[in-house]
Amino acid sequence: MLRHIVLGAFWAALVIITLELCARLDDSLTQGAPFFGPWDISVIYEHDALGQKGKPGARFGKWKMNSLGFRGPDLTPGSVRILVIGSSETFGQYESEDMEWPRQLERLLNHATGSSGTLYEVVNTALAGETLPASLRRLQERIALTNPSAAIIYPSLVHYLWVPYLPEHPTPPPKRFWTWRIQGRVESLLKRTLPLWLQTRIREWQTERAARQFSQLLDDVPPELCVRFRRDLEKMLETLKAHGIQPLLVTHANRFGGSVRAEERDSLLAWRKFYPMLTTDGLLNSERTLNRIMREVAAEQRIPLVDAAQKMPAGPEFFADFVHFTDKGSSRFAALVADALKPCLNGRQIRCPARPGG
Amino acid sequence: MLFNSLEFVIFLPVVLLVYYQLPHKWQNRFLLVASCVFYAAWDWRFLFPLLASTSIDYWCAKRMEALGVAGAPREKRRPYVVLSVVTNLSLLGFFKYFNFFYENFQALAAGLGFHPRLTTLEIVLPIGISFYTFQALSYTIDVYRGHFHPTNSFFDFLLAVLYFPHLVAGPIQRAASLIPQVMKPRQVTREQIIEGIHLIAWGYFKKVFIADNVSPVADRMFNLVSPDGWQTMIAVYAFAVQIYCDFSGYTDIARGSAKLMGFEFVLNFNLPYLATNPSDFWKRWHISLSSWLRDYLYIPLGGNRGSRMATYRNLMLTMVIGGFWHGAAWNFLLWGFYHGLLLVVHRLLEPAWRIFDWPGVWGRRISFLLRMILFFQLTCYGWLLFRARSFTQIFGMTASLFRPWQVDWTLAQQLLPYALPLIVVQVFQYLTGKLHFLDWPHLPAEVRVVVYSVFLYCVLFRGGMPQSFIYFQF
Repeated sequence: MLRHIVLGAFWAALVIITLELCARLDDSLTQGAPFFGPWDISVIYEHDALGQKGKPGARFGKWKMNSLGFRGPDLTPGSVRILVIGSSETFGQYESEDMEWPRQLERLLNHATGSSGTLYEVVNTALAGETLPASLRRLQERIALTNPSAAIIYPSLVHYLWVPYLPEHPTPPPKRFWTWRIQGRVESLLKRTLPLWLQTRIREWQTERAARQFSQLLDDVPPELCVRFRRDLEKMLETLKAHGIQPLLVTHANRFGGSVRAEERDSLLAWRKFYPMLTTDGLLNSERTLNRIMREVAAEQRIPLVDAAQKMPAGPEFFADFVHFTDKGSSRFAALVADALKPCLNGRQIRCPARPGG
Repeated sequence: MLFNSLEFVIFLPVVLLVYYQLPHKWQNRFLLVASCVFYAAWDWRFLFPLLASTSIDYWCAKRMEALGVAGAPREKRRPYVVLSVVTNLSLLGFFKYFNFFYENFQALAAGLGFHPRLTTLEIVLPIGISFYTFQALSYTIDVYRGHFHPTNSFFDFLLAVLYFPHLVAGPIQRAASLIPQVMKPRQVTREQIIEGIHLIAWGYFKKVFIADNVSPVADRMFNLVSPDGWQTMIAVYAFAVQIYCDFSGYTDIARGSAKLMGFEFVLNFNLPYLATNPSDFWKRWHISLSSWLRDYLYIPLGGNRGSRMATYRNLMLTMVIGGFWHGAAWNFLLWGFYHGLLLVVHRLLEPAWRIFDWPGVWGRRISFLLRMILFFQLTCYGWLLFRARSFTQIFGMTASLFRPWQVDWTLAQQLLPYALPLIVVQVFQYLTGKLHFLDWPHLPAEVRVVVYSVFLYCVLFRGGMPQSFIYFQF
């Protein structure tokens, strides 16, 4: 019996090691990855005292960072720059290469104004998982690096629910000496092949397990966090204005729109897995509350607002998952933002007409 | 339930697990139920034409056997074989060819100025009907010829027809080979398990890694409105790789799955692209169909026993019908005609071919290589006829071969990473004479595990977009 167990373990180990070696060879041949060392999305990030930032010149799959550590091409001297602040929805997750909405917005603006070359350059400073406070910490640095004329703020709202749990001074993640490259492949294979009902059950179980660390689940954003969110947003706008940068706020859109259809419940559960402190209703309530705050701030400060939460069509055609766009979704989103920006473009100047006070 | 689906990946181990626990009698019953589940997973209604044809075939065979035992002459048995043939061909004709004849009749009538008002039928082609009707026909014809005694158990016969590994795309099993295996208790040997695993692993590799990755290249090139010669060449090479890996991959999985249950299926592919002439090709490609056509069509037509012209006629007729068996479309008829023509021309020019019989070991090798390369080009041209969707496309792509080519190596680069493993393995198989290329007496088991793990990686993580098997449509 013991012999069989040992033999079985040996064969299993041999299979796993071979698969891992294949994965490493595959990465080396197809992406120029190092055979040893880590090779996942983390290779395009680095960390400093302010937290996570893009690693200049890094590349992983379709994600390429420029020499400043932002997604997209290197900056063109003499262009009029529009800074984009956001999270994974802006950084680009499921879209094809060059189809993330900031790239599409750049094309739309230059096309609309008949600019030859790249007069308007959209600088995508967003990073996956970046919260509003993290963007705020990096804002001065990004302004100094890019010298923008305008800034579009599209924060991933429910990320803000994590803010109270994050350390005050960001610490880099522990250095990993070994990661199984086959692991990520197996996970995505399971996502592709397992029946949806089973994936949903697994997610429910994972969410319930993660939710145990929170004494009480939230049905909405707590009032003190709303205050903090508003303060952070105002501070960001204040900083931009102080540098003469025209801000533009964009409310957060999701796959579900106003209400969740029965066939979208699985997607909602998949989203909730990332926010176990919230109930399922709490997720959508938080989104509504924080969007409302964005609208209020925009009205108070008379700055233009794109109400993407209202205007973006819902459904899988436009959203690959709960909040990340498909190619079509990012096109629609870019068009919405472009429509709001066009009246503000005046040659090398970007100035939006002041909104009536709210 | 496709072989390359998650359902089958779960289905097969579950079937094997239960199968190994059962005694022979229950094994057969269980396999019958499993096969019904497998088939009904597409559409349970497909079971009805299959049950109807098997019931009639079983009854006809029983009647012929009874008449044979009673000493009745062959003529007395003929009505039963005719009934079986008519039933099977009617089923096939109705489900597969009705719309083809209907549409062509309409087009012809319209051409002659008539506009008949006929009712159209929306016919769903039952999966595998071309395969199981041919298999059932072999049963009744063999019984009629006295080559085989029918089984007394309807369920054994039904299992032979319905047995899931070969049900939907062959290999077309002869009743004389399969029914005795159904009836006798089966012992699964260690060799069968090793061979079965090998066939399944290699079959999945061919289908999922090679065929499914090459398929988009072929599709893209065949969808071009006006391809140049280079693009046409890449298109047909890609399709040649795709169709071989798709179909032989399916067959290998079928044969491997059967072996794991102690069944032996006939070899269906034997390095077909290494054939040096059309006759050799049909001894290597879809062997179960070509041998069926030979035994039940070509030889009854007279084979090569008559005059030279009669032999050519029989060859042409057999190949055209073989082509039409693949699908109800003109291009399949043309493909069959083309292969018939190749066979006839090969026979005509046989003496001339002898100038390539060069002496010496190297002379023979170079001669083989030249013939093989030449015949591969002819086979590939046949695939153009097979894959094209219209005569206009056939003419356009053929004409492009004679116009200036714009060589684009990036197209070749899309094909080579997938074609190369196939070429390497096939050359190795040819040189060693072993189709089971890991079958070496002193090869450590660890090497096999490593090779299969590499296949597993390619299948799971580097496979193309899942595609249905090409031969399922036939």
